[in-house]
Amino acid sequence: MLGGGTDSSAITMEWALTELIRHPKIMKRAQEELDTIVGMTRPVLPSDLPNLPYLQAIIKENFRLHPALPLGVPHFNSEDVQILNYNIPANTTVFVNIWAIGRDPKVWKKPLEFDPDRFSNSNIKLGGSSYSLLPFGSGRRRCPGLDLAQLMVQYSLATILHAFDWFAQPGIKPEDMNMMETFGAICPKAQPLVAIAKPRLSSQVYNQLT
Amino acid sequence: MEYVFNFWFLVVGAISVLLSFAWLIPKGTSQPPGPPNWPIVGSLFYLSKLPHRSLELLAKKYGPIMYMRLGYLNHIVISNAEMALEVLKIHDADFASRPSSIIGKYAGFEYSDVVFSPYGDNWRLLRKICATELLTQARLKTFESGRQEEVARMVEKIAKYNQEGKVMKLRPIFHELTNNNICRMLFGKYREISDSFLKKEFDELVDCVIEMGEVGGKFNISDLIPILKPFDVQGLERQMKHISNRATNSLSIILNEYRNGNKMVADSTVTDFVETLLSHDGKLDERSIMGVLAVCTHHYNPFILTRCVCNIPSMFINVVLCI
Repeated sequence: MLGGGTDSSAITMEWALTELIRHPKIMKRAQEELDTIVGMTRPVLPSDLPNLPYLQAIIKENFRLHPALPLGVPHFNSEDVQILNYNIPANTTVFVNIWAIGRDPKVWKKPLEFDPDRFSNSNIKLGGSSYSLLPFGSGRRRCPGLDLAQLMVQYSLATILHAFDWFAQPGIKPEDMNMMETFGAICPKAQPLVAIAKPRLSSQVYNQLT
Repeated sequence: MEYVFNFWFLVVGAISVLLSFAWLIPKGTSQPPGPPNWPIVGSLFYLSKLPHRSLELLAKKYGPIMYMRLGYLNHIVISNAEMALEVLKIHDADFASRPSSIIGKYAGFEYSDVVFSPYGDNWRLLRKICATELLTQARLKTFESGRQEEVARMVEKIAKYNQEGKVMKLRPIFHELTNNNICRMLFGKYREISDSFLKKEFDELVDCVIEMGEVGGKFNISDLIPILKPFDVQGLERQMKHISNRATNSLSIILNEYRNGNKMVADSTVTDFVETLLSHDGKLDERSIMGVLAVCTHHYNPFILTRCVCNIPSMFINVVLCI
């Protein structure tokens, strides 16, 4: 767990914040939602999270485009299996290309666009019951840390969006930010995000946090 | 006449040969489509440095279920929601095992953790403990104040960068947050804590997980071409074994202290994961306990081919030299 719960959540947060810096209108809308639900006089509390549907949609959209494990963790069959008309011999390694499924143009309109609104009025869930969005896999081998990961990503993203305005580093236009990934066991941004934060709350609120 | 006889003899012969093959092969035996397989390497050459992208392009040509041989091993690659449902729901139990790999052996403590463990009783028990005791909503709630403290520390750090007018790299900041948070859940303790009890062992363990991630994230040719395994041409197995031994030593010391009633943070009122896992002492073997605590995110991945394809010739040279 020390390994599993660390890197994947951290790079997911990095991807999400990068997408929001690239899309200032979406960041602003998320902050307006936070200001309405949380207000400007106290920090975000974990109990606020279920009341932030737009933030949740941003997180789903981020998982759709940037799953931490684009090919999941390999599955394996110890006996022959018949799928549709195909025979899969025993001892075959199975990869589910989660990354490609999240960008399938037959399922997702304008698949390369970062558009959290595609999840408003949709009942697509992250837990593995919607097969077009599988950041945690599905079935009995689904990621056991799913709830923890969602909690961490939601709570920390909500807090840093509520507490700060975020900008790309000087000299780089938001729309020119490099969005390529590198491939390893997990898939982080190839160029680590460098950004500037400006506080947006009064100093009393920051004091309440610490 | 003789020719006619020979002709029919050949036709009947040919049909019976074909039929006997058809009879030998069970129904629906066709293999999913896929790119051509070359000797030894199979389809490795069709993959780029970003294999998920190469596989997406291949799937456009060969379809949502593809067969590929990588090295000597059979692989299938699933690329749309319908086929994912077929594999992960309808055939969930059939495909619930894990392939063997050196990362599963060393980072997964001989395949005994919840991620790398093959489908079977040990995995079922681990999965049950994770799902009903460790990672439930109620249990996660008990760590809420710890999470809040960690997020507050992160905000403080970001504010400090701003005061100093500096741009900041976010990845290390996020990484520290998630790492501290997990450590608090496992041991009730995070890295910077001043308390020095078991500090050496704890720091060693965190280092091992990071190092294992670095080594384990590398592509291991012997996983795909098992004949190379005894030669450990890249030296990865040796490195992993060393890291795994160090992690095992540290964890043994930590677990023994817990068994003697000494928690990592003596005054902590929150039940940490080590305590929960040790309550299953006897049912869970030592390796599984260690595996659950340490398991590395850098899952086995035969697609880490960045270095692989260009390195194949030099690896063979190494093998020849070894012999």
